[in-house]
This record gives sequence, structure tokens and C-alpha cells, in this order.
Amino acid sequence: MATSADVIGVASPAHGHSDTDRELGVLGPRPVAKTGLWSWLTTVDHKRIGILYGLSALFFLVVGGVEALLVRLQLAAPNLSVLPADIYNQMFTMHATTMIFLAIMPLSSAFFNYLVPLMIGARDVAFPRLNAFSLWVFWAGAALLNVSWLTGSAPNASWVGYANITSKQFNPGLSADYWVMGLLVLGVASVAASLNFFVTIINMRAPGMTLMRLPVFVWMTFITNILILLAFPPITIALIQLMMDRMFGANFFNVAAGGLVILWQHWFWIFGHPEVYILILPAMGVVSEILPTFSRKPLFGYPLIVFSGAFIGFMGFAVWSHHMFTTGMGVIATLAFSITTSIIAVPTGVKIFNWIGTMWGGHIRFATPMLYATGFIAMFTIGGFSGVMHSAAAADAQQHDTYFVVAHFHYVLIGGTLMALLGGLAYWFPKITGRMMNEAFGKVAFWTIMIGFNVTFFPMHILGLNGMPRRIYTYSGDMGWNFWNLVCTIGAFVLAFGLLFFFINMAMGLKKGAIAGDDPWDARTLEWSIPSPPPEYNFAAIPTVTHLDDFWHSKITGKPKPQYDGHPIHMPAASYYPMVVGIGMFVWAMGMIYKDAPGGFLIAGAGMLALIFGVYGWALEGPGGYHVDPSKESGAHN
Amino acid sequence: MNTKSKRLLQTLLVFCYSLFLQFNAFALMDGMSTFDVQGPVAREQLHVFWWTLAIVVFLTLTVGGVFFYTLIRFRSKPGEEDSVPEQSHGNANVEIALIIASCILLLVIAVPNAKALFLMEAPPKEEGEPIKVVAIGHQWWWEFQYPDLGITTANELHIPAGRPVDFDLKSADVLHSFWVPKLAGKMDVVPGQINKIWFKADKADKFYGQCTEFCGDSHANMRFLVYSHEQADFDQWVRDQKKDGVKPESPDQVNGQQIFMKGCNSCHAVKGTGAMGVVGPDLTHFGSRETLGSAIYDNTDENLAKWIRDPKGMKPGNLMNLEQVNMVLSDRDVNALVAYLKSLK
Repeated sequence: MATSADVIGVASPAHGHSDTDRELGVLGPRPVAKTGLWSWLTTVDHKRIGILYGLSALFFLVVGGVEALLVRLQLAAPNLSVLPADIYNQMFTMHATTMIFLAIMPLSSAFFNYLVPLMIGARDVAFPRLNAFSLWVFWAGAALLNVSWLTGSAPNASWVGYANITSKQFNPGLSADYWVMGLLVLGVASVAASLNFFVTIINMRAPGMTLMRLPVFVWMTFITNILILLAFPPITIALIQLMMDRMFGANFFNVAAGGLVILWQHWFWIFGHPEVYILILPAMGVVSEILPTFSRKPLFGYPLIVFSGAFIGFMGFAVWSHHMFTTGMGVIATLAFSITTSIIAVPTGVKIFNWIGTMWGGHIRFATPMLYATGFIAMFTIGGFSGVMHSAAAADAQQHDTYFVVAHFHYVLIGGTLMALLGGLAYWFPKITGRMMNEAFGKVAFWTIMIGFNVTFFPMHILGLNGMPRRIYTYSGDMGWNFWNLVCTIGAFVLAFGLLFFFINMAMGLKKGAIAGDDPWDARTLEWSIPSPPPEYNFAAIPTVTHLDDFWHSKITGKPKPQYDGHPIHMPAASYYPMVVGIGMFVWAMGMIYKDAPGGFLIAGAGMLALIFGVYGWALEGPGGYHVDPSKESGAHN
Repeated sequence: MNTKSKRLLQTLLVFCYSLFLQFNAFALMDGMSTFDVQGPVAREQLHVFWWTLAIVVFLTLTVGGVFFYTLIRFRSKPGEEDSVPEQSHGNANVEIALIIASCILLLVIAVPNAKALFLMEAPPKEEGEPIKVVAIGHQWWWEFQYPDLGITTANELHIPAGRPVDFDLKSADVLHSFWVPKLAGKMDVVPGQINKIWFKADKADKFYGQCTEFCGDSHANMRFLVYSHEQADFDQWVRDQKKDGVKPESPDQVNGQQIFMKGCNSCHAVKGTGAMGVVGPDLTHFGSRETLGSAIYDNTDENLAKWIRDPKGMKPGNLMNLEQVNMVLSDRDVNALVAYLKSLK
């Protein structure tokens, strides 16, 4: 393997050089472009992949947001006909599916990708091409779900897709097929990514970066990815059973043939509840980074926060049936799950105490990221409290499947997760782009989002307790639901404007924001020790970690910066194959959906061939790589 | 504050208040209210709700108080921009105390919750002799059978007040959920499985119910009504329901029955006639019902005529399909059908 300076000697100084002796790629030499469209499509750089995840997530946040606004318009007053019943059912199904799988999860994934290597002092993830593969498969799944709109049969059986409303008998079109294939493909992306981050965090840490010196965001990423790894197999099994029922006449959920509809709900929620923590734990990690920086204090009770996160993740697998309190499980099972559910309040409470403890005695600066972090604590706490109320199964019998639940999970998912992730965007924006976002406009956006969010979702508690069921496309005017529904709809538009302000601020910051410098917030973790934006190799010299918050420690104590040792840095080469595999998977899934149409199976076969070709091409092209000499790179320091 | 702005503020407050009253915003005692409890099961569930709310309000005040105190007390003061506070890492005693305190609070919820769950399981003896009802969810209407009384009806459930009603819940097609908020929390209706629920109405009244598990196009339109009667009135209702469908009298009604027997009877039953369909609601005493289409329309002649002409327009996804039974109806036919159906008191 070429690692010596000889190879560097013949390389173009700016871009390094491919390991030509290892190349067997059937598509010819590996892509070497560093700029332009192809460099992005073939990239294996975790930072670029992170940015692509982030942009995709924000795009789908807008798509899901528009779907939400249409839903809110339909419900603004009783007996409206903005959307007919069947379109409404597609709209709320796609709103939830989009927000969960195409907006929030990839937005978290954007942070995992961009930050984890930087925070643990690594130059990339463990498997760079697998990382690109995850991105392409995610795009394939996202495209599958949304192409369905063009065919007029978007998924229409809610994001939980309870059997047997998804069966061929009760759902004869292609809606459920798009949903099944889309989620199956997305699951592949998630599992591949989770393996990647699991291995990266275990194996790629800088010297001295012991597990208990990991930034909490990395810890939460680690736990989240273990949850993905364990939670996606059950949903995959369920989806394959459903696919078999729909496409090949199996009877897993066909009552008339001895199938069991309740089986779906167990499968779904043994995935679905950990999924809730997959959505919230990264947000908790983000907040645990922002609070210490802007309080100028270390995280209060670091080990307790870490262990609480792990405990929440573990308990996530012991509470699934609290989504099924009204399915007739019997009093003992109901009571048992009621108690395990309420136990989760303890580690969650511990986290909230510790976040407050972090600020206690600090010197708090209310920069925009800190506003989001404190907003997160307040909103997430409200969402947590309504969660405690649901955990009492007897009371939940009234609340289940009403707007009270809708209020609860939006407090956790928007007030919690989205609030924290927006804070994370504001916090790391200078690192990613090298420029600052406007503070004053950022605060306007924050308060618009905060007010819009509460005006939209707080009244839903009232609506739910006053008996409004969820997933209804219309309601009678004499149930006392009119006023608050109108308020919710107005609030939704305020919230939409807040998000629009945030995006405008991002665009403006990117174009003409003040130059950020390496460490604009006086932060504590390793990513702030390198230039903004970081060079492609991240660290010219891998730091040796001696403390928790090592960068902060080195700023206080004047510990010398690590020096570049003059050895060229080996970088992974870009590749076409993750893209080939992703496209192959999309074509295969489309073929499967249309397998009964003429040529359907042929298309599926073609997609499968492309997939196999991509995997073999990937294997045969070898790991590849090239070398970079940071001392010759412009803009590199130390 | 000067008088002018005072008056303005007053006007504004009065306006807001009347707006809220107009929309009944704060009453929370409407048709589907979970607060306006009218039976022991809903009452016990509300009791648990108040416990959880009390604890949550207590926590909101304490945690929220400390939270906001921290935000205000420890905000960076001028001159502190570059100073570094003490780098404290935690306090084990505080943590342990808070963990123990939160466990105790959870126990406070767990006890009434367990008590309520056992009550929900089956009616206790002291609640009285239960009456048995089988409720069957269909896309998108409710069938109610009284196996001990030999009665079948749809969408309007009649029960005796002061006696527990013991339900078997069944589904004819997909998942549904059976919910009358003022009487009890919901229970899912699961295909291939018989779920149990019971409730009791304290006194004679009328209650709203609705399906709460997504079940397809007209999930929102799958509503029903519950009428509780004094025992004597209920007995009278039972006697009426046991009778066969009224024989048609006027020429219109006779004509209507003939048309009914040419297709409607494939799906609908009228006791005492040849109509024995079981796919749609039993119409033996349709004329005595107040509502139409699973409690979404008033049962007026006009609405019924519209319903017969355009079932899908009246209720999206409606499975009632006149073409399937080759029925092409003139306006006269529709009027005759309405006359016949409304005569089925």
C-alpha cells in the first residue's frame, strides 16, 4: 500500500493522488473532482455527506410542513372541504412519515455525520463509502415515498400503518405498497449508518479519548445508533410480512385465514417506541453541548446524564405496549407497562435537573443557540409531563387517539427535538460554513417559532380532553372544538413563518455573515480547535486527549496544540458505487410496487442487477485513497 | 392609566370574553367532554387524571420556578463576559434526593391508576345486574345486538340508566375503537378478537360516541349516540324493538317497500319481511331513529332522499352502492323509499 512521500511527490499538490495500483473499478478510475456536482454525488467525506443529509432534511421539513399546513387548513373550521377525505388521509399519513423518517431522523443524521468524527478527533467515519451508501439509499427511500404523490396514491393508512387497513382487501390501490417499499429501503439506510457510527465511536477515537471523556452528543449518538440497530429489525420483519400479504397473498394479518392483526402493533411499537428515543436522544445530546458552552461551566453530572441516556435507551424496549393500552391486553399487562412507562420519567427528570444544574452558578450568555437550548428544556418538560399523564393507563383510556396525544408528541418532537436541532444548526453553523448567522434576526426567528409552536399545540391539549379524536378529516360544529381549532391553524402559520425566518437567516449568513474564526462561542469540544470550515482531513495532527472537554481544558491551562508531524495524510477516495447501489435499489423497489403491471418484474430485475453490479464494483475497486500534505494546503494552520 | 385606555382595555377584555363564550372555549363540558363524567368508569378515570394533573402542576411550578430563577439569576452580567465561573461537576446528594423524590411522586400516581384499571376490567357486583350488548364496528357504522333480548339496531344505542352495560366488541372488517367519553374511556375493536368494556350511565340522558381508531375514508364520520333511559322507558323501547317492521299503508309506502325488496334487501334487514341482508344496518325501526348515516345527519326526509341518491357524496367511501344491486331510481322511487323507510317506526 502506498503510504510514502514518493506517491505524494508525483501527486498534484492540491488534490493528492489516487492509489492507481489498487484500482480495478469497472467504471474506470475513481472520481477525483473536488468541486462541482460530481464531487458531491460521489463524495465519501463525512462532512459533505452530513451537509447533504442536512439539506435533504430541511427540504423535507418544508415538504412535511406544507402537508401540515394543508391539514390545519382543512381543520380550521368544522365541515370544511379544503381536502376531500381520501386526500386528507394521505396528507396526514405523509406528514408524519415525512417528518419522522425524512426530516427529523436525517437532520439528526446530519449532525452525527458532520460532528462525530470532529468531536472524537478522527479524520472520517470508519466506513466512508458505506456512509455514502446510507445517504443514497436514504434518497432512494425518500423518493419512493414521495413519487407516490404523482401517481395519486400516496400512503394513506397513517404512519403506524395498522393492520388490517393496509391489507389488499381494505386498501386496494398502491398506497400501502409505496409505504412498505419506502420504509423498507429507508430501514436499510438507517441500519447501515448505525453500524458505521457504532464502529466509528468504538474504534476511531483519538488517543486518550476514553468513553467517559466523550462529548455527551457523541454518547447520545452512540446510544441512538444502538437503538436503530436493535429497533429496525422488528419493523423490517413486519414490513416484509405486510409486503408478503399484499404482493404474494400471504396471510400474516388476514383474520379470515387465521392471521393476527394485533401482531402488527407489537412489531410496530417494539420498533416505534425506541424510535421515539431515536428522535429525542440526539436532541438531548445537542442541548448537552450548547448549555455548557453558553453557561461556561462543564455539564453538571456528566456520568449521570450519560447513564440516564443509556437507561432511557434500554427502557425504550420495555414500554412499547403503552401505545396499546386500549387494545384489550388485560389489566395485568396494562398495569405492568403503565409502571415501566412511568419509570422512564426518572432518568428523563435526571437529565432536566442536570441541565438546570449546568446553568446554575454559570455565566449564561443568551446567544441564539442558547435560546433554543433553554426553549428545548421548557417545551420538552411540558411534553414529558403530558407523557407522565399518559403513563397512567386508566386516564390514558380517555386521552388515547385524541388531540391530547397529538399535543404531547408535538411538544416532544417540535418543542423538544426540532427546537434542539435548530439550536444545533445555529450553534454549529459557523463551524460548517465559516460564517456567523445574524444574532438579532436569529432571535426574531426563535421567538416567532416559540410563539407559533405554543399557539398551535397548546390548545390541542384542550381539544383532546374535550373529546376530539385524531386522524379525523372533519368534525361537527356543535362539539365545542371550533374556536381552538381555528387558533391552532393560525398558530401553525406563525410557526411556518418562524421557520422561514430561520432559513432566510441561514441563507443570509452563508452569503454575507461575519467570518466566524475557529472558536466563535468559546466552546469546549475538539471540533472548535480546528479551522471553520474544517479541512477535508479535519485534524492535521490528531490531538491527544487528557480531559473531558479537552479543548476547554487546553485553553485554560495553555496546553500546547498538537503539531503536524510532516507525514502526508491518507484520505479515502470518492466512489461511484454507493450511487449505483442506491439507484439500483430505487429501481428494484419501483419494479416491485408495479410487479403486476406489464414489465414490472423486468424493472425489478434490472434494479436488482444494478444493485449487484454496484456492490461488486464497490468490492473490486478496493479501498483506494490518496494522500494530502496539510503543510501545502492553503488555509491550513498548525 | 387614564380613563380612555382603561375603557379601551375593558372593551377589549369584554370582547375577548364574549368571543370565548361565543365559541364555548373554556367550558370543556361539550358533547364529547372527558370532564363532564356521567358514570362510574369515566368518573374513576377522571379521578386518576386529576391526580396526574396535580402532580404535573406541582412539578411545573417547582421545576419551572427553579428553571426561570436560574435563567434570571445566573445570566451573564456586564463585565462578566470573559470571566469564568467555578467549574463544578455535580453533586451526588442532590441527584439522589431528586431521584428518590421523583420515584415517590410516581407511586402517588400508580396507586389510583391500579385501582381504576381493576374497576375498568369488569363491573363490580354492587353496580347492579349488567345488561349484555354486542357492539360491532363496520366501515363506517356501528351495529348493536342485544343477545339476551333478541334485538339488533344500529348507530343509536339504548341502555337502561343505573345498570352496568357489559359489551363484547367485535369488528366486521378493520380496526375501530369504541368511545363514549362521558361514560368511559375507549376500547379498541379488533378483528378476530372479542374485547370487553363496560360502563354505566348514572341517569337518563343522551351521549355522543365516536370511532377513535383510524379505519379508512370515513373514519371521521363513524359516530354514534347512546340514549340512557329509566328502566320502565327502556322496557317499553325493548318491546317496540322486538316488533316486526310496520306494514306499509299508504300507496307511497307500499310502492317504497316493493322497491326496497328489489335491491336494498340484499344488504339491509327489515324484520317480518323478506329483507334479511346483514351487510348494512338493520332498518326494522329506522323511522324511530333520530339520525342517519352513523349519527352524522338528522333523520329528515330531505337528508334521507339525498342519502339514497348520492351515498358517496353524503359520506366519503360509503360502501352503500346502488349500482351493485342494479338499482336505478327515479325521483318518485326515491320519495316512495323515503316514505316507506320513515314509516318503519
